[in-house]
Amino acid sequence: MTSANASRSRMSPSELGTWVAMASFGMLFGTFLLSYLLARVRFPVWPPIGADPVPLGLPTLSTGVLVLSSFFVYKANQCFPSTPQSFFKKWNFSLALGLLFLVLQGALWIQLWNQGLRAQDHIFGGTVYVLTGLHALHVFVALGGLVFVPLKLKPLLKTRGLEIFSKSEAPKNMGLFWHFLGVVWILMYLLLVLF
Amino acid sequence: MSHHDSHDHDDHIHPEPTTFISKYIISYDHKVIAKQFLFFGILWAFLGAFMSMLIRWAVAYPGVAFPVVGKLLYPHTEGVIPPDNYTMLFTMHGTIMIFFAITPILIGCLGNLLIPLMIGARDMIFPWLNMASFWVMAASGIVMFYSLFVPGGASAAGWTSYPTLANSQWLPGSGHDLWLIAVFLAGTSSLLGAINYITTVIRLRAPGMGFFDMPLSIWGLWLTAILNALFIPVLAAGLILLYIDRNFGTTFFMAASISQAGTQGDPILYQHLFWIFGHPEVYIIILPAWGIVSDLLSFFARKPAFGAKATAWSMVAISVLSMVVYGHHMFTTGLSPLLTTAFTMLTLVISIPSGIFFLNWLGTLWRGSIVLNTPMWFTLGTVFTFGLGGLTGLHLGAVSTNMLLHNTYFVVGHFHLTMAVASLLGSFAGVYFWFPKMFGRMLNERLGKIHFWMTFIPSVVIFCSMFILGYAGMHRRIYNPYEYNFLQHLMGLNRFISIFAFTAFAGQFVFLYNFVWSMFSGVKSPANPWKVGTLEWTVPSPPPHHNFDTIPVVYNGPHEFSNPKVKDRDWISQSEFIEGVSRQPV
Repeated sequence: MTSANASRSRMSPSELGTWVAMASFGMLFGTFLLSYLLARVRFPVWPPIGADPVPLGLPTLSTGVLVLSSFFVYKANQCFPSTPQSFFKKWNFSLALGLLFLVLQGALWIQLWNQGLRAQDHIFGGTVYVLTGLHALHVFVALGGLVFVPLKLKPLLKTRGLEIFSKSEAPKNMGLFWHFLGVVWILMYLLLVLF
Repeated sequence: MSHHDSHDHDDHIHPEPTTFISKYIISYDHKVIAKQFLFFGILWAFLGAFMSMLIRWAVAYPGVAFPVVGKLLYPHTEGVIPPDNYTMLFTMHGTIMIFFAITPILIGCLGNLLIPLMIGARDMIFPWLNMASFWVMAASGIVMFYSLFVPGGASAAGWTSYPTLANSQWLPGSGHDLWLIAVFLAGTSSLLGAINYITTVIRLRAPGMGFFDMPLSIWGLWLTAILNALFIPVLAAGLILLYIDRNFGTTFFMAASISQAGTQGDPILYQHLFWIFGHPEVYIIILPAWGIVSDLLSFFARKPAFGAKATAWSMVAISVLSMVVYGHHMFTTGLSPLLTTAFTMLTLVISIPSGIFFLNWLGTLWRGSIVLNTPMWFTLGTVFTFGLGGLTGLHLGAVSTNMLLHNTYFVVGHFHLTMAVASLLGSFAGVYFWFPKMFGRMLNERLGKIHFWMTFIPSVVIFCSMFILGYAGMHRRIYNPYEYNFLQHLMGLNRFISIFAFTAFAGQFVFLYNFVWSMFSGVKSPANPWKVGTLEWTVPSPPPHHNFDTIPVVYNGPHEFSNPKVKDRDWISQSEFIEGVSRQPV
């Protein structure tokens, strides 16, 4: 065996498990996006005649919000575990931004609805609502995870001290999954909205 | 702890649960979860097999009341199986056997039991996830069972659930919606298991155990888990879109002709999604059986596994190839000739790695001191039936012959021999072999052999005869074939097949009796009844809650048999150090 340093640089089991899970979720969203592209190439014009494209404003804003949220998770993890106060503060920032993202997606749905877009009308309407909806559902569940981190770690820090606190792998793994959902959204933004 | 310990092993032993609930119901122990999956799978397997009896009766004796329980099941038709029910029967038979029988037994039970024990770990790396995996499966089973009794009946779209058959226009009623939910949940269960299996194998192997020191059973289960993790989500995506189509009026899989003008969904898209998952699924089901067979052949030929490393690499190669051959399920959907040619070539390439490990199996047997006990008979049965199934796969992989045989009984014969009979016999080999480790008692040998012959001979006869049916042009899934003139002469052959099917079904009760009887009254098993060297046999049968008192160190491969330097016995344990035979400790 080499020194303890070599083993320390290996991925922890929970991080490895997170990567496997992300590969699975990647296949899920990959399949949705592939299906969307296959449907799209069959149409001579896109969006199909009679449908307005997805407006640029709100999705662009929500992309910015989600990227910023990811950035705060990244910054929070840089403060972990050395400066817990700063960690919690940044973590909560990203949590708030994640909530804002969901609000913006809801506003986008209302805007699309008022624009007359219905999921039943054509494959375009169907994919826009279903893909953004499924992504939002994952963001919603992941937000639960983001909330869980301070709820679990704050009492842990208080009762068991910094050493036990610093062993938690939840911030890193939740952060990874949060970045992953950000990447999925950027792909959706590029394929559904921008191009 | 995991950061500092180079093998992530949990050195302190968790206390054993004491209450009935924590010990047997909400259990975190991989050995208990394995048993839960086993019982679950056996229950469903009997239900699925009973459905196939009804199917075989309907095909062999159309219009005749099903004996004994027919009037109870179909009071409105005096016991005759009605056509709509026939469609539900083959749908549910396929679904149940694949997702609720073979998957829980082969992957859920044997995967859970073997992975920690064979790699020298105290448990799975995420025990909570493991428990969740079983209970999600149980929920899935409840939903699927409930779907049999809803108004309108169970799903009737075939186990592949193709639109337009599965669209709400043609299949209204909640039966198919429940089917979609249940399969989604079953997939979720497999996925949770897969994350666990993959990580456990990478992280919890005992010190000294490299990847090629793992028993080939673990290789099979590990590759299966990787395929599960990657391709179950593709199925899940298809199921979600289909569910939304059926319940929220979207048109993802609805052809332009039957939906409003201009909507233009595509039913073929579903077929792509289904088979991107579906072809790996075939290997998901057979890979663990291949692994078990590769180990057991060596164990009972009392010889090292011939070319074990090549066998492992072949399984890797097949896992990779399985991702890029799915188009051969869709040759008749109007794929471009360029694609059909490509898929034909890729499919036929699979015969190279298959040929390698098949020859390795024969090489293992060659001049071995073969012990013909029940697990070995089932192992040899797996090799034989997989050989038959594999060879007939060539006809279906090549586009020119596929066009003629598509959707005929030739296909039914082929896939049953590979993913049903071969994987079932492989599961039985595993259950007979590891039953002593699970329950601390031996299964009865004589009953085991009766069970083997009552399963093996009928299976071969049934599905080889189906090649003839298919070649004669008999389509699968038709209710009464004899309404077609050109199929009327096949009634005799169909009755012949059905009689063998009933025999095979009867044979399973021999197993059931043996299983239940031996669990309570079988001969007590020693720690290592088969005299083999893999790690699970170094601990008592059944193993203690924490498996290993101390984590073993591995010095030998899993198939070290008949080494001339070891005089007193013909096997070497993986964790014993013998000067001049074992590797130097690391």
